[in-house]
Amino acid sequence: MNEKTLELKGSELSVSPSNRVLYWVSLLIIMLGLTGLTIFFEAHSVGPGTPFDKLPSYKWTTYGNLLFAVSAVVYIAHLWLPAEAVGKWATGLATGGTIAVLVGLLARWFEMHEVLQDGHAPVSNLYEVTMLFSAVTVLIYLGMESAYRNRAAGAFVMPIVLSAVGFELWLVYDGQASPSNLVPALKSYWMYSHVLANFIGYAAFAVAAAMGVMYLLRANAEKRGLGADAFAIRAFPELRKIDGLIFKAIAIGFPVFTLATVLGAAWAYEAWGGYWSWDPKETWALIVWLTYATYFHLRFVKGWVGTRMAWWAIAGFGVTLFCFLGVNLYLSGLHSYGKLG
Amino acid sequence: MAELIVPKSESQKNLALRIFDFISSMPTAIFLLCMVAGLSVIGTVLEQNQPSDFYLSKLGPFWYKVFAAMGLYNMYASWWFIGILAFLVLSVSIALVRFGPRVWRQMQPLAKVPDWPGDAATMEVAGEIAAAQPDQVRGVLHQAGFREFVRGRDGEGNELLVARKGRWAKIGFFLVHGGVVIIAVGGLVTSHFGFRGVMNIPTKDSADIVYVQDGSSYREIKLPFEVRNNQFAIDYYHTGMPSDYRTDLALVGEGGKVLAAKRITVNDPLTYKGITFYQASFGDAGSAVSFVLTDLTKPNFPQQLVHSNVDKQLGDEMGNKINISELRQHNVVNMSQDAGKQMLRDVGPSLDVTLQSPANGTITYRVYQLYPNMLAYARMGDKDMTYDDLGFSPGDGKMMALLAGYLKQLEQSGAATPDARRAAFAAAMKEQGVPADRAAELGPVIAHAADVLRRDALPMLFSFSDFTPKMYTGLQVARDPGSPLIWIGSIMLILGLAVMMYMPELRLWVRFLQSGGDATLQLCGKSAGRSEMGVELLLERLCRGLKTGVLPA
Repeated sequence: MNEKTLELKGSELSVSPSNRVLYWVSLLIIMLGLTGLTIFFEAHSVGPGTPFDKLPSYKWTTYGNLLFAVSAVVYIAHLWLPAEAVGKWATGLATGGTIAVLVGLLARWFEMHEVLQDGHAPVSNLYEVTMLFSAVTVLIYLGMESAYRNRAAGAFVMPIVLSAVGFELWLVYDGQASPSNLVPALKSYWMYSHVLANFIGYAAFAVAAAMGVMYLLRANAEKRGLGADAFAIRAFPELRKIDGLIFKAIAIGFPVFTLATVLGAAWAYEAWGGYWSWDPKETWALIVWLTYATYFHLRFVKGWVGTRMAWWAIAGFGVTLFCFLGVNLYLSGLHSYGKLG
Repeated sequence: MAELIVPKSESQKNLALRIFDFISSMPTAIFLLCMVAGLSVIGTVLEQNQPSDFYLSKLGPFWYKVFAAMGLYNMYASWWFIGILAFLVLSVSIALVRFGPRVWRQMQPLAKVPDWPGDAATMEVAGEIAAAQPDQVRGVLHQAGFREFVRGRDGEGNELLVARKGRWAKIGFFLVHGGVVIIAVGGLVTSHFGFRGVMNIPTKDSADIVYVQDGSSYREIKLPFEVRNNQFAIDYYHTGMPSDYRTDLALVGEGGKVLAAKRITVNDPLTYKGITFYQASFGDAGSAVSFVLTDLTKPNFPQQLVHSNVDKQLGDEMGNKINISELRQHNVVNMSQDAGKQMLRDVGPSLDVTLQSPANGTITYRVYQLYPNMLAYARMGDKDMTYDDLGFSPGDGKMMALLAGYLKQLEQSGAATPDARRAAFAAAMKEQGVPADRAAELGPVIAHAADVLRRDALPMLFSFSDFTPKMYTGLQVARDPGSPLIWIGSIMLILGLAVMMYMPELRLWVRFLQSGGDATLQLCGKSAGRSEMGVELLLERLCRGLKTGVLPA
């Protein structure tokens, strides 16, 4: 098909995997260092009953969200401004935003010892998990960006992240952002792994859906004869490649999402003696699982690719969103850690 | 089973084989996956296992019957839903048998050179190449993790080297589909040989009956031993919310022999002979309470000390009914005046008493043991409690008598002016033999209390004297012989998916072309489990490696 002859250019030599590991590890160290400094210097201002918007973690979250917003603008501008420097700024801002939000979450974890006199991971209400969702989504996207060296999808992933940020702001406005005590059943080590794995799954499916939108835009432009030279479309990878990226994002998320569901079942088994009780959240997790299981069968066995699968990825994320938010919005059950309206 | 996968002509196949083929075919599998997903939605929208009145009022008599006939009130246990699940599992099982040998063969070492694919990522490297010979190429590919090689020629006679890594990734097919079948078998074992129910046992009491929910009714299971609740305790957060609760549980066999004992807490159960006891809930098992009832509808406000229990109902000849609905041992309230700040204090025990009277409707009182002067009540339809301060406890018989006397004098004299009220008060005090100096002291207090009674217009008052708590521990009891299968199946499922998604098989073709004196190498990579961009990046890296002889880090 598209045969290329390799031309070696010394300056273009790729970042080696060992350097990449070094890069991510140094980011991790920066994040932990900032968390440590935050806790060390601002511990005196935190005590029982301190309102959440006076907590140092809230500042970090706000800075992080601002960085996400600027990064989204730069990613979108990068579609028209192909200069490498613009792309690097977009990546840098998104990376900075993730670090700030994660520092906010980690600091909040420690603050909860003071505020509630009972510490637990900041994954217990809708506000906290939405923060986690935004950070993990950006992380998974950045991982794929660095692995596949293409930034076009950022312009589609970041708006999803910004929607999450908008939802956070609404929760703040609605008074649902304060940390709260856990009911005894939630006090378990299973919670950390179950929630984290779930949000890795959700985030990967969000990235896949963003790429699905990118696919449909390009497919539509090509159908209308605009072709690869059209203004923003020029920055998109070819359709076949976007299709592969969508698949990869779902393939990253699916095993972790399966793990999350099994961890949830194991936890329920330890707390209530039943791993599966057809609670609405459980049932919707199964529906999400079946949706993506069908995706793989259609792709691997029936050989479906392209527009149909891009739509499938978008619809799959719709089902995922209902599992994440809709169940809390419309249905009742065991996972009543947040409400809407 | 080999004959299953050798396609014979349709007419030669017997009916059973054709049915097998149909059940395990991909369209059937996809149809079943979508069916289970779609039908599962119903049970999340329609609340399950509710009493029939709930559905009747929601749906009306006609649809109630239709839905009932379809088993929608316990749909995940209905024959048709279980049937579809069983069909899906059957489809997976047959597919394992039918396609297993083919997948197994794909994992065998490459016997011959596979054809150059026409639809995969390709790249070529030309000019000066450090690793131009097949053995050198093999060395570079080895550095990139390829372990399996086969050499041959393509249709035009060019030399071809094919390499493969992730040869075992397709084991994921067996792990995932096998895992699903094993989970289903585990579920079947549990539903046939296991149970899951509840037991509520008061402190210092024991029981041996487990109540198992069966649709909207319950069936009883008798345990071969007594379950004894030796002690039950609750820990609280400083906000008053329970932080943990625990039971000292003992299983007592014949002759009082203790078979097993453990302090169970939420997330830490006790298991004995396959039966597990989980700390699930707690509640009031009829705590003993006593309170003073003052009847304001009668002259002289007669009082009565009542001894009763939580959840009991008392009645009188006037048709008044008193329900003792809830005892709270802790009431944490925010005492801070500043809206943004918190100053949490435990104001101690409270009792909720609901009065239903023909004359006054339903009124719920909340009486605090440590704050007896406070009147807190809500009439039917009120959203919040009304709080008022009587100035003294309604349980104080002397004060209530003085108050009653004053109100009677007021009513008799019809006093409307402050002076007339003072005269009525003086008359009432004189009537009850209160000295003048004491009366002067009491004046403002009684006057305030009289205002409060008129304002609130309550038929009765209560004063919380004492209580002895008696709690029950709520246990979930389950026997689950299928659970080991479920966990084994789950682990297989996760491992299989991880292998298939994270370490997919990759085939690589290298074609050696000679044009003039220069060698050109054409590379082509194909993987169902990788994105084309990923394959291209790998090809690029390999080309650099071939060019220089060393694979870039």
